[in-house]
Amino acid sequence: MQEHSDKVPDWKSQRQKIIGLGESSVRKNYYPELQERLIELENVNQALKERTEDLESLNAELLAEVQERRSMEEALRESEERFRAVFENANDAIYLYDFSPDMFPVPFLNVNRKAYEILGYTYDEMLCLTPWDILSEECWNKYREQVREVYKTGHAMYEVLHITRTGVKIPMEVSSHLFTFRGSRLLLSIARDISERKKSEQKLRDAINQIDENMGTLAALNDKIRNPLTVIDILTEDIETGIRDQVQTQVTAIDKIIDELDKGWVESEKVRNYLKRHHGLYES
Amino acid sequence: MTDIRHELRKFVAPEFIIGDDARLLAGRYAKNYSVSHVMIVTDEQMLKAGWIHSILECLTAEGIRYTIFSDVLPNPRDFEVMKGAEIYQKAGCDALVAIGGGSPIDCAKGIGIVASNHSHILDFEGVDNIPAPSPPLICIPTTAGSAADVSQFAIINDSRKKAKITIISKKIVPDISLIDPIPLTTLPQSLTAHTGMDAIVHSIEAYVSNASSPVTDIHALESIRIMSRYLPLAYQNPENLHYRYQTLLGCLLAGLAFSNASLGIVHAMAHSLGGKYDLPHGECNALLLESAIEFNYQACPDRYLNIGKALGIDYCTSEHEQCRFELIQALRNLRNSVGIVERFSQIGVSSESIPELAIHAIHDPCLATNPREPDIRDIEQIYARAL
Repeated sequence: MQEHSDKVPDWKSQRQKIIGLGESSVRKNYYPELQERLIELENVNQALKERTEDLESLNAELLAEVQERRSMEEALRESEERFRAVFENANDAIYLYDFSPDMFPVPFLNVNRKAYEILGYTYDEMLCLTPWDILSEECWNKYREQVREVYKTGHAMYEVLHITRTGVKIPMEVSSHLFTFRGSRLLLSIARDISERKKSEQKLRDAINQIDENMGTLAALNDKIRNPLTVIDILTEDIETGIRDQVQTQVTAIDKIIDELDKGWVESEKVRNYLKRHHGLYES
Repeated sequence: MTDIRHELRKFVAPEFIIGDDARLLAGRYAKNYSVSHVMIVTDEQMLKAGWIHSILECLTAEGIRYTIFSDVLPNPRDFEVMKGAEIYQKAGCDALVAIGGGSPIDCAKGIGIVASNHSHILDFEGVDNIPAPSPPLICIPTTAGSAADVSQFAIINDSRKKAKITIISKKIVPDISLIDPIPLTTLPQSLTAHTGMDAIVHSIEAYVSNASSPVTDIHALESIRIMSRYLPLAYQNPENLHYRYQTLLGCLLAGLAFSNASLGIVHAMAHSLGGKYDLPHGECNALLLESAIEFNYQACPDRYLNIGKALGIDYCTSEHEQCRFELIQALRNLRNSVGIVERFSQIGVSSESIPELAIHAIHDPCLATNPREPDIRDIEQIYARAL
């Protein structure tokens, strides 16, 4: 309570205030504040709405991205499965491996089923071996040269002998490629067992040798028969004509047989040359 | 005619509903204000009266919780207001329902002021000293007198100084008054008399106020007509609903008049007396009225003449002195008819206290609108005559 002074209050101004013409006589002045709050709320609501819309479109984008990634993954998986199927079911042995910069061998990074089955190992055993471990000792030099070639040109094709777990040597025709994978230079070698081919080649070579031998024998036989026949011809010049004619007739018949033999020799030579030409055996 | 100036005037009236069972709309109005937990400000007598339960039920029916605060005495004290405000805050109330006479309603207004402005109730003394509006206030008056349920006034007792402070602000005009004659049927005779005379003094002071307006005049004069006729009838027949209704109507009109035109010297002096002696406010007004009119009469004799006519005086003369005498006589008869026959000296007021009472009275804002400006001596003389 205000202290009452002896001074009488200013009744005129008090009276004006009591009558009050709205100077400060708002009964409930919450309306402006209410309006303000309503506008604030409206703004907040609008912001929320916009934010919701943003979030919704962002969500849609994310969903689309997820969908895209999913189908990409799906495609990748399919591609990988396809690759794996080709890799696993290939009829050739496939090795993936690396060399340290000084050509020091490191174990295979991956091999396919054919690779370890041919050599009699399991997959896990195979991944503990290096290329040198499956190579017959007499091929080491050749192999080293070929690997250098691959590093130089990116590709090489060569034959080597692989050695199985039990020591059996298998001739293999190898095609090696160099490629870069995630910053590393890797070697991919595809090897084909050529034992059967080697055997066929040997048989053919034996056959041609036999033909050569037969032709030699044939040539010798011709000479050997013709020489006594010439002697017979000379010796029969002085004998009576009737007999001589008979002998001559026989000599002529024998000569014809020899001619036939000569023709056989020529045919043999043709066969031999054909085989050599068509099976790449000129060297032998 | 061109020389007549029309001073700007405003008339503020709250929403009110008058009629049987108006109190039962408390729940609806609380719901209208979107409140969830009201504080009911009332007094012990009200809690004993059975009909208060019907109000609690209608609140509950609307899903509104309530906290009852009934530590309110007649002439509400500052500490009662502060206690009520503390409970209001702690309980998380969001509106006030005042049920009772002027005391619970004024206390509720005080609680509302403190709840919104967070300061001591005595800091708001005077005119227009309330920065923030109060929470929604629903009033159910149970006396036909104070009209606190429609007014911009709140009177609180400064317990330390034993003086009443007057708070006037349009920010404390209630939001709805539910004016129901039924609670009045249990009002004791003395309270009917005191509050009824309070209403008549409201009308008279509003009518002679220097802030009266044509609109307040209509309400004031009609109120005097109604009250002078029905107050004695209601006093004699307390359970007659029609008489009670008429006194409520008279009180309402008086309230609308004085809330806008304000009051005068009678109230200023009654506040001072009530503060010091804790006397019934209406009784103080009734006992001060006649000597106050003797002082004021010369300032506006024509107005007092109209008051006399409204009281039913059949004047045979236009001579001021005679008219004044007849008016004072009529008012004395009226208060006598409702059993107010004593003088202040008989109810404990001593002449030694007059200077102190006068000092408080001369600072009461009600004096601002008294038709004649008194000095301390004038006020002391009026007190002395009423002893």
